[in-house]
Amino acid sequence: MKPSREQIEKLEQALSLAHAVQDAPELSKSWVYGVMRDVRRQASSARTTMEVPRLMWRAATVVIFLSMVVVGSVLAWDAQRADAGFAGFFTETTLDLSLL
Amino acid sequence: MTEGDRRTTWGGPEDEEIIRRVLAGEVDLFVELINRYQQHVGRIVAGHVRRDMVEEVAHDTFVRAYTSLSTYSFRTPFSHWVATIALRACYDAWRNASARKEVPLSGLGDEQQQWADRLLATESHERFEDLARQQETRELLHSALNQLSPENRMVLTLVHLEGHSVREAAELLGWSTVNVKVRAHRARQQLRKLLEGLLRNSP
Repeated sequence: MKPSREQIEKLEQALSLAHAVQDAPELSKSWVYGVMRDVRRQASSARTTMEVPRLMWRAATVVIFLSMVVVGSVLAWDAQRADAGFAGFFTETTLDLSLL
Repeated sequence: MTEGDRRTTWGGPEDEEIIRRVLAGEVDLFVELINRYQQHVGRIVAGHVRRDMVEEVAHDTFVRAYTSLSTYSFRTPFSHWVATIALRACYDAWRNASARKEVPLSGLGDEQQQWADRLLATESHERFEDLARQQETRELLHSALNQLSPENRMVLTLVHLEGHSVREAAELLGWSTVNVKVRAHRARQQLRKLLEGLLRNSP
């Protein structure tokens, strides 16, 4: 026999009541300690995650600066050598003219 | 409402200050939020997961609350914000348990049928309430809820057992109102079918 709507509603009402009176278990101090241990772990891994890009940017800045210094020095040295070459050429030309 | 109640229940200035200081790097102050809201979270979680899962899910709730603390807007009370995190943690716990097939799917047994008959046979309101508060009714409730999908279970608990509106349940779960409405209807039909089956099989 199909149960009546009233019977189903009465059971639903009982289930709602049973749900409402459920008590929460007491959470202990060791539970709080465990949560805080994970929170601190999260905090330190977040700090590390933030530190790595910062360090990478710093390292990249230093590398770029050093590269500029090296390139600048090479260019300056090359320019000095080129000046010396021209000077030598004119000196040699002068010498040749004097021989004539 | 006293100043203390407002602080504890509605996330007044002291909660705000703690949150700002935690965000500024004073991580150890988070323990104050745990102490203030552990009962609140424990009650919510206990209403949605098995008793042996409560500690783990409440733990997960607070770790999630810490990791997403920077998204807390300070416009809603902290208690409400942490409640949404707790409910989503409960839902994820059921989804994981269901994926790992840890949810017992056995039908409602003979003992539960007899218990349902006893409940229905009671004439006085006091006796009915007394029976409804007993462990057997809770077992019947859990067996019935275990037959539902994690989504339907969450919606049924929020809307039909706790009396939240569809809109409130949608906000708490972060789902659309249409989704919650459809699921609320389906879940109730499913529960009614289970209860009908239970009563049909009774001697």
